[in-house]
Amino acid sequence: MKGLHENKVIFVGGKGGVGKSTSSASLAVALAKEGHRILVVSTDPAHNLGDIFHEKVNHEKTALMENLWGIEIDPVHESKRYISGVKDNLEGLVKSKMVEEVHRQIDMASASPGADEAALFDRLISIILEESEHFDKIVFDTAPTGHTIRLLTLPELMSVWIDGMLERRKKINDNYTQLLNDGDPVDDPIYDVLQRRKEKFAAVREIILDPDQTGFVFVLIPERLPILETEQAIRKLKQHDLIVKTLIINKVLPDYADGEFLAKRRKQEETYLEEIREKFKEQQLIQIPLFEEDVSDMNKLKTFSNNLSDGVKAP
Amino acid sequence: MEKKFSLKRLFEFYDEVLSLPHKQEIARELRDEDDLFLLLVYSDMLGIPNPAFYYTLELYPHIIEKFHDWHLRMGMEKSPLDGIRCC
Repeated sequence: MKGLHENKVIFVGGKGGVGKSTSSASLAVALAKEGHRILVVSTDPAHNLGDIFHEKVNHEKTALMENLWGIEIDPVHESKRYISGVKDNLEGLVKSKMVEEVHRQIDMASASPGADEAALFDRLISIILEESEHFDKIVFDTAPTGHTIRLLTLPELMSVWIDGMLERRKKINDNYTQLLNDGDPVDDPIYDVLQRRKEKFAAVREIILDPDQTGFVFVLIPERLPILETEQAIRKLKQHDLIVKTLIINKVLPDYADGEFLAKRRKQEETYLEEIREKFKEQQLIQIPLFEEDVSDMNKLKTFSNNLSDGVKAP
Repeated sequence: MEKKFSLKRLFEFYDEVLSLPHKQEIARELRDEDDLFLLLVYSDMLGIPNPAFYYTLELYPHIIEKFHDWHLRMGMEKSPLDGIRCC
């Protein structure tokens, strides 16, 4: 099992509000400072990358600093792009007076639940498959836990469905070939489209499931709920053979935080930290202190990423 | 130029006579298979969830013709599904 340092693709997950985006951004900055070419991608609908870097980030690559580029995936935009592709393919296949009606129907279908998720997933696949050659590493800042687990398990679910359709289709084609076509193979665009889909899903699954290529990081804070949620997430991902190897424990009270109030707080926190060390023996733990101010600009981000670098480097 | 009568030709002719009705039967069977595939792909429009529905949209251009044949075969003059309007 290789460490984060050797991974090509890194997914950063965690409960809402624990500092996922800050951690992803800092991780990306830390790696970029070492001279790797890094792409940081936000899949969370509540995009934060732009706010963190004080840059306008959109669905195309935006330069954020030396060696670092960012993308915020916009599901609506992606969905539109896909649908317009489908419409282009209709050219010449449908009677011209029907085209408008058909387009309306496709638009309706594309507004079905799950369309956004599928569009997001599609873009994620494209990024993993196509951008890998331009970058040394791709860091994904994902949505809160539930979404992330779904997103990461989608390739499996989709593959099953597409495989099912493909198999049926193949059987039909084979039958036509043997029984009605005197053994000549039938030309089937439907089969070809499905096959292309399948290959894409399979390629991405292979990358995500390979611990040498892909790493999963979860961010949590020393409190009861995030601990429980992280535990559950690790278990769920494990069911799909996805192994979380790094945990970032964010907002840990530093020693110099003074006052009776904080002393009490620290005592309780120690219990939780103990629990984290107890529960997550399989994972590498990186502690990040709570800072006096928000991580709101590049300097503070670099401070954060220095803390992170030390942790990531340690075996 | 008239072909010579031969035993071989007789057998060929016999074979054709025998297989013709079956050909139609086979075609019908295969069409049923095709229809089932259609159902599998667009089940979502009938309220049967299909998580890959979004990805089936890219099959739409290739399927719309087949779908049209289907509902005509089923004795429906107009498409019964709101999601597919072919006529």
